[in-house]
Amino acid sequence: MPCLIQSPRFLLSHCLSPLPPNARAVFCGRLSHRSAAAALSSDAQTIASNQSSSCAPLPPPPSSEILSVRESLLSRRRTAAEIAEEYLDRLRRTEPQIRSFLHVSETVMREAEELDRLVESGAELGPLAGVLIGVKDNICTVDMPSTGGSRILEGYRPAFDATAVRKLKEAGAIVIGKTNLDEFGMGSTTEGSGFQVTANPWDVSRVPGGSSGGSAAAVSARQCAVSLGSDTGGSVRQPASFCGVVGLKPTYGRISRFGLMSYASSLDVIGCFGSSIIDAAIILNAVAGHDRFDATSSMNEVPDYASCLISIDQFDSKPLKGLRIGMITETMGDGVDMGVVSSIKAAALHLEELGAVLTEVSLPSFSLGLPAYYILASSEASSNLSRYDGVRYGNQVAADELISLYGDSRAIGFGPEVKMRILMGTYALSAGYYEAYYKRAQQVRTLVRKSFKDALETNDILISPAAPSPAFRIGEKVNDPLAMYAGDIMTVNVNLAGVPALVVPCGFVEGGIAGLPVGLQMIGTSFSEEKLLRVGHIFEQTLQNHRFVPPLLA
Amino acid sequence: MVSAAAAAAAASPCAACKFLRRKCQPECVFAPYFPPDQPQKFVHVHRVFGASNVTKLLNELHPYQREDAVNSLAYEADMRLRDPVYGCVGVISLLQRQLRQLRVDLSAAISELSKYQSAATGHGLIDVNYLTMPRHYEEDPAAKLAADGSYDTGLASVMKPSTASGDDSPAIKPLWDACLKLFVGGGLNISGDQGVMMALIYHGGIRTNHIFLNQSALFIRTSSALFRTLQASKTRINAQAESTTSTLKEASVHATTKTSVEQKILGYETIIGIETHVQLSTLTKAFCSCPYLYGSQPNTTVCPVCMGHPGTLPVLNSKVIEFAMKLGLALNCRLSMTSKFDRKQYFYPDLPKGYQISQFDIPIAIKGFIDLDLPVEFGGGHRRFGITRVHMEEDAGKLIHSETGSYSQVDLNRAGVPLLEIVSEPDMRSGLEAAEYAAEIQRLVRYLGISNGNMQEGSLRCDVNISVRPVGQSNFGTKVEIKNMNSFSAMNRAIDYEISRQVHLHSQGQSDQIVQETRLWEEGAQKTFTMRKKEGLADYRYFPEPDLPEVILTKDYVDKIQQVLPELPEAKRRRYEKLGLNMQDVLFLANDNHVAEFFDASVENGADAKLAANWIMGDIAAFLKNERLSINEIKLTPVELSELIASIKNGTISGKIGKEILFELLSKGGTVKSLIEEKDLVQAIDPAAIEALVDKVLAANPKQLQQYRGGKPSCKDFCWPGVMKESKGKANPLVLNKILADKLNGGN
Repeated sequence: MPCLIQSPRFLLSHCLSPLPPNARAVFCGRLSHRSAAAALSSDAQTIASNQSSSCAPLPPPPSSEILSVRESLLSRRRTAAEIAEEYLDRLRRTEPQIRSFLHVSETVMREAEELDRLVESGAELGPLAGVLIGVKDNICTVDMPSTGGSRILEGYRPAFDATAVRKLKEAGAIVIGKTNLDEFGMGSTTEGSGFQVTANPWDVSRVPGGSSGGSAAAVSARQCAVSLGSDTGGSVRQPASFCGVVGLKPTYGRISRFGLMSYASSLDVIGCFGSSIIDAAIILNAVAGHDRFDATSSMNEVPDYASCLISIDQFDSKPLKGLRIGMITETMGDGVDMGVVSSIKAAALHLEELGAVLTEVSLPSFSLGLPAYYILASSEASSNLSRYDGVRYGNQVAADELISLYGDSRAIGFGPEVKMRILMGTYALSAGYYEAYYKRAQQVRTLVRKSFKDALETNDILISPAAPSPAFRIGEKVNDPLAMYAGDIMTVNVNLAGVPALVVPCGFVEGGIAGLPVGLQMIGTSFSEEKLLRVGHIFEQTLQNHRFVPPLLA
Repeated sequence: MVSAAAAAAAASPCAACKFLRRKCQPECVFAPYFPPDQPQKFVHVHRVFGASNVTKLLNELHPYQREDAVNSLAYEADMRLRDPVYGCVGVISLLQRQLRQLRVDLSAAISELSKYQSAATGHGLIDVNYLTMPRHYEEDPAAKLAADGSYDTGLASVMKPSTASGDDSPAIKPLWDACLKLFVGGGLNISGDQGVMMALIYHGGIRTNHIFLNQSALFIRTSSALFRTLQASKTRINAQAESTTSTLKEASVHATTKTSVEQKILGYETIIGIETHVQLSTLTKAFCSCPYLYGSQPNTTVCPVCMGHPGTLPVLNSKVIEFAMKLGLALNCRLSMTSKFDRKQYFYPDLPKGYQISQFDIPIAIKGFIDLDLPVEFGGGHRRFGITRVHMEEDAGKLIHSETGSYSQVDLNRAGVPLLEIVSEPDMRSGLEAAEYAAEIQRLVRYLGISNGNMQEGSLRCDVNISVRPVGQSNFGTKVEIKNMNSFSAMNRAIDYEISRQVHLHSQGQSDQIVQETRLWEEGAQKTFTMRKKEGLADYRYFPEPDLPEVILTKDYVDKIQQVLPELPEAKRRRYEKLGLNMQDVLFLANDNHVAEFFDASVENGADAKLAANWIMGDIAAFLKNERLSINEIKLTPVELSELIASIKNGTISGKIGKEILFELLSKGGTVKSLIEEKDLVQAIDPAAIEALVDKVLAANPKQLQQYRGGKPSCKDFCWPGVMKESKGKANPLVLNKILADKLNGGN
């Protein structure tokens, strides 16, 4: 059995304040909802009708931050300004230790007040009205600097919002700031940022994972309700696991990449973090869909991800009856932390108890994925990063000759990890090596894709850890890039195959003051986010004795 | 002047107040500028701008600025009334156009001149050039010119395409000698500048084959432009005249050695392949929604996508595929039903992303060919050149280098503009063939409507690969690439220069000095210069563009495009040939798709093909040239042209009157019928009426009649003009002739 550590109770300051009875019902218990969609369109009556549902025994499953914000606004119990103030307060309090933000918006309060006027006027509110959202700094925002965590873009302000950001803003969300990351998404610890190192809220001496470490840490520390990240080789899922939050990597093409600074175009996906599955589903609802600015974005219809979630009082004891779940054998063997293995096994057991049929499934090409990923990602990165030449934007080093202008600007602007990957990628694409590296890696990619397809024909969902270990200490792997790369073994194959994956916190291992969270990775077929979210939601609600709120907030 | 006007204003109300029927106050704002003696000035200004607006405007200005303002208002108003559409802008643009044309003429003249200078400085290589020209230019036009010493006659005879078949024997030497005599202290005493002018024309006639390149029309234009400019810049040329004439002697010495050099070039084989970049005239760029307008202010047609900003992605403009398919089909290529884009990577400031989106191993079209007819002046002949591939890519921006060379600026307007690159098989053997290939590509893209094909604007750019090898050698010679030719004639000259350069090196045993390199054609020097030597093959690290999906064509779509292809130049030429037109006419008409359309429409309306061709190539072409218009800008419609031809054919009007009507139609429009009626131009064919006129003339000239009958047949002529005059030119000549003969010989 995994080391089960009782995590501190989910405490939010407003829960402590005296509340009217109906609100108390909502917050002390779970936010009861027939379906998230009903809650989304919820008004006072819906909530009143839920009054009768009694508070569940403690500890409660994670509640939706988005829905609680919405309910507060609709019931006029709290203003958007109060909510924003609360998040900003917490952000100011925790930021000196966590350092998850590269830039905090100065217009949050103004936007919140504007929203309050809108609420006052009785206007219809967007589904994300008043929700404070963190955006990874490699996603462009028009009114804030967007650096991708790189010195070469220090102070760069894009002329446009990324499509995902635009959609969030249109839904009423308020961008609270830009979160830290490994430079251009290249890294697994957020130590590779050109600006600062972010700490893990569960233990500030540890890394939050990466590259979307800032986004994961910010949600974990409740500095924002939800956040956007990007996932090229596990950059959403691994930090989600390290920080004990929900992380969703959608199918390649499900969310427009327009405005996401390309690292490896054929692998990059924008993903999202939330403290609950419902939040992830609502964000996905808001940002998914075809975009005419991204030729690789999918035309597939976007289902209502939130409305397909089933609340605990809606299902019987075997809600996953008949669901075929395959545990990937290769992810549970050597080199994987024992604590992690037992957490995942416990989670698998739990899924079985819910009625799922669990089998072990082997993906023989699994171990090939890692080298193939590093060749493909580096190759594309070497090309995608060519545009950072200091000629049109970003930091330019004065030079007498063109060649030294390029050389010096890039030598000073890029960090060591980025330079290493550019070199590797350039090498792999060079004449005479293309066939041996890039082309073979593409062939491996085809194999990986096929093995996932086969495995997902006999199974509805595949499960694995999201990382071979829990969060490790800052500086522990800085000088061992291969060990760092090996940490991506659990996640890169999913990117190569382009399929969606969801990470749900499932347990703890020993470490830190309150234990370190472990995430369960669930992998589905292309465009099966709906199924993953539904299973994840059932898992999350039925998971006993674990609450994933870091000790920092206690 | 102001004070004078003010004084006048004191006496009587100013023109403005008078017109507005109001009392002219002493402080009247109009009074100083609209004196009572110029009433029209205010009337115009008032009509265009309105009095109240003018008042407001003047009140906002300092008094010292007002006079200028009023003058410019008056000018603008005048012009606006004269030309309600363009106003003074019309005048300005007209003047600017003239200025531009003059500049073009001037630079053409300078380049012509420099050519003769370089020829005259005794550069041995130029001689080879002399010998590569097609033989039949060496015949008499120039000699004729020399003989009668009249530019016009000379020009006219040069302009006429030679009809004599190419004769190998006429030695160039006697011709040269004759000319030299003329120029250098010969029998005629020609002053410096005239001498040079004639020398230029002489050269133009015999060695600059490029002038003939685009058929006679181009030649007419070039030479006449040359002429005007030369006359305009007499003084400058004057100074250079002396040296040119004296060095001509040397040139003649080189000319006499032609036989030996000719044998040299005969022993070599030239291989030419061409890469052509065609800029597509899509409304927006290839991967973003920016428009592209040639000549826009730098960096005004740009967006984050084509500037390569972080986070931006390319999205393919579907028109690019459509245009590529059209060209691929028109070039008889096989289309790749599935193709993809690749990234070609290199660093340069005009390349915003650090890579160019292009197609590498799977181009959209492969393995085609193009058919063309060489100009008649060059002996004619049909050629088929292979096309290796056509692929889609994006253009780069432009670097603008500062004059001091200390910095450069980047203009990204052109970045991301769609291009089609056409790679030919190495099938061309001479500068002429290469230039004709490029001209046919230009015709093709214009017919297809996918590009304006304008070489000066860079919409059509050719990179030429040339290698020379001794006949019989199986290995290819070292390949040299030439860039920077912005006209077909420049291509022709550049290639012929490069051939002679390489042959010369071969013949001197220095073939190892021919290295793989890129050379630039310098129009001023008429030479190619090394731009960069290739040190090994550049590694562009091509890989599939991950931001763009594959391009998959369906058969239905291909069929649809195939169906909407217009009749292409080659098909047109073959059809015109079948209409019975000679090759000269065929090439002229098919050269420009608008001309061809006009011709086709005329023929469709019943016009005789040969007659229509004559009208179009003759008077209409001349009118277009004079007015600097294109055929779709004139007011004459094909229907009226066929009507005109029919009216002449059926005798309603005479050919002479037809010509007069044509100019009315060209400049003012209208219909042939209404013009004939309006001007009462119907040809008199009624014998009785003509007889009456003849009687009248004869009666008025008894003396001449007497002389005629007295045995002076030439006196018949007196009657003709008389009768024509009486009939206002409308008497049918045939009928008149018959009646006249009857009358004169009838003896009543």
